[in-house]
Amino acid sequence: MEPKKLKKSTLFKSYINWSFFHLASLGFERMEAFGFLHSMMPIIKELYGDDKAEEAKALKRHAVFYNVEPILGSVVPGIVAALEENRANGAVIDDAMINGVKVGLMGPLSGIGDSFFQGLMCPILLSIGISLAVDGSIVGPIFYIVTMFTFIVFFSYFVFFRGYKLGIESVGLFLGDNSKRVQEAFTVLGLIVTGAIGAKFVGLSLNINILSDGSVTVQTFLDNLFPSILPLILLVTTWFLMVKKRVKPTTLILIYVGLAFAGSLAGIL
Amino acid sequence: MELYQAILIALFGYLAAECVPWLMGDFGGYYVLSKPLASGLIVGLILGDVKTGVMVGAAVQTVYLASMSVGGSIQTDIAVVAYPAVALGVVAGGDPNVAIALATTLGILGILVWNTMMFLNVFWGNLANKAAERGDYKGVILFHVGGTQITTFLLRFVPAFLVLFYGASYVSQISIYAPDWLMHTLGVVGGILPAVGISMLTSLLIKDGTYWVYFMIGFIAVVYFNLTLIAIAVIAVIIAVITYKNLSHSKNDKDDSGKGDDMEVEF
Repeated sequence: MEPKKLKKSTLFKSYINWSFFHLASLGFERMEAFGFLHSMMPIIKELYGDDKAEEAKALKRHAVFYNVEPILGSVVPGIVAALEENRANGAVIDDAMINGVKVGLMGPLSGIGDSFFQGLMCPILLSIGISLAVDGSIVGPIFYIVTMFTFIVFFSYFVFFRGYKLGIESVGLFLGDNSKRVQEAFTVLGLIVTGAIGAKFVGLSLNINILSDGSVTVQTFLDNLFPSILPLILLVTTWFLMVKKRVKPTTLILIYVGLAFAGSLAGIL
Repeated sequence: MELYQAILIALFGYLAAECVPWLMGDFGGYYVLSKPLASGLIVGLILGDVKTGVMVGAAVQTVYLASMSVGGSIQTDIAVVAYPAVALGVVAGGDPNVAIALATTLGILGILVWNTMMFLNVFWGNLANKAAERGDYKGVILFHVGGTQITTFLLRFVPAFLVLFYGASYVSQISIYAPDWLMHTLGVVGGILPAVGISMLTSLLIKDGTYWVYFMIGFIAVVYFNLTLIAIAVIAVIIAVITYKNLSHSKNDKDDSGKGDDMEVEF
């Protein structure tokens, strides 16, 4: 059978979906998951459209927690499109590896992207714009709007297609005899970054006093024992409930929202 | 302010906000049109006084030069500052101090709007997920774009319109209806729910109990050593390469000696 090769127009649709809808459904639980899934939909349709079971599996594969700075982060849908193309052609690339790549990239790309765009480019171009806007001249705002927007669009478009090329070129390294070792390495990479993201995103603390004047609290005791121990317990418990007890994420969310409201109203959370 | 002006400005307050896709997502919204410098021009055009609009926008912008939104949490909801606050500053005779003072009050409202949106999107996300499981493309878009944008529009347009049309005194009335306990509870929910999303990743990546040690490396790097994600990613790549090298080769030991290095280049 002829190996599948993604059409340029499909990749372009994927870029457009990412560039418009990356944050459309940002939520506490999965952040940009569906923005990423949206960018993968044209890819999935072309690669797996003739196999309904594989198609649904692919859609589900990308409906998981994801969070990246979206401009530099445009490189990731490109890379993952290349991985999916190879997978559709029979390469051994499992769900853990694809998500290992995604998670492994989102941490560093967000760090670099946020400090470059929000920390450097925006303030510099805004300062120039402000100085051009003295006495209410429209040159200032127009300068900022045009330079910033043009740069973002060209940059994100470039890195998306660069990511696809990079993915195609490097995917050979993951395959063949090496595939088990590479998949293991990506699992390790993904898990370490996931641990860091868990520590940064999950927050839970108890508001219970041991001494009634508030000088000694349960939380200070816990912090001395192990900082962020409650978020860690929450993460392990959630994993346990989902994997070992097969509790659905939807059920967990309802339980957690209920507990958060009850605990918050009772004054202990 | 005329009715149509209030409607247009409130509409821009929605369109330019983070997580609204129509102006090319954050590329045209958050990074460009939600900056007070840019909003000054648009508000000025709508109110028929471009010069004052640009001056107020530029003055407010100097206060918010380094405003950032990182990893889904915000310090200030910049779109609220950029549209309703700048517009009221222009109406108050072009005094940027009016806009800056209002921004503080409106910013609190903005954070409530933001957290409510992040909370409601959890439910839209679950409907989108069910659609994905069915292989239903249209269903995913219906909830991921359609559903979320209806609630986000209501959350952003309605308060902005009320503030613009009836004046800033409405802000204090709205904050009576949104008491502290609600803000606090949404904060608690926002701390707990990411655990469900992150557990989807751990359930994919953890193959047996021993894999938790890798998770703990990242977790401890944050809570004990306070490292940034970039530093942790570098450590993670190093450990991944070591893992790769230490695993026994199934066959062909000799011809892949350089491949570990290539993997590093990929990141």
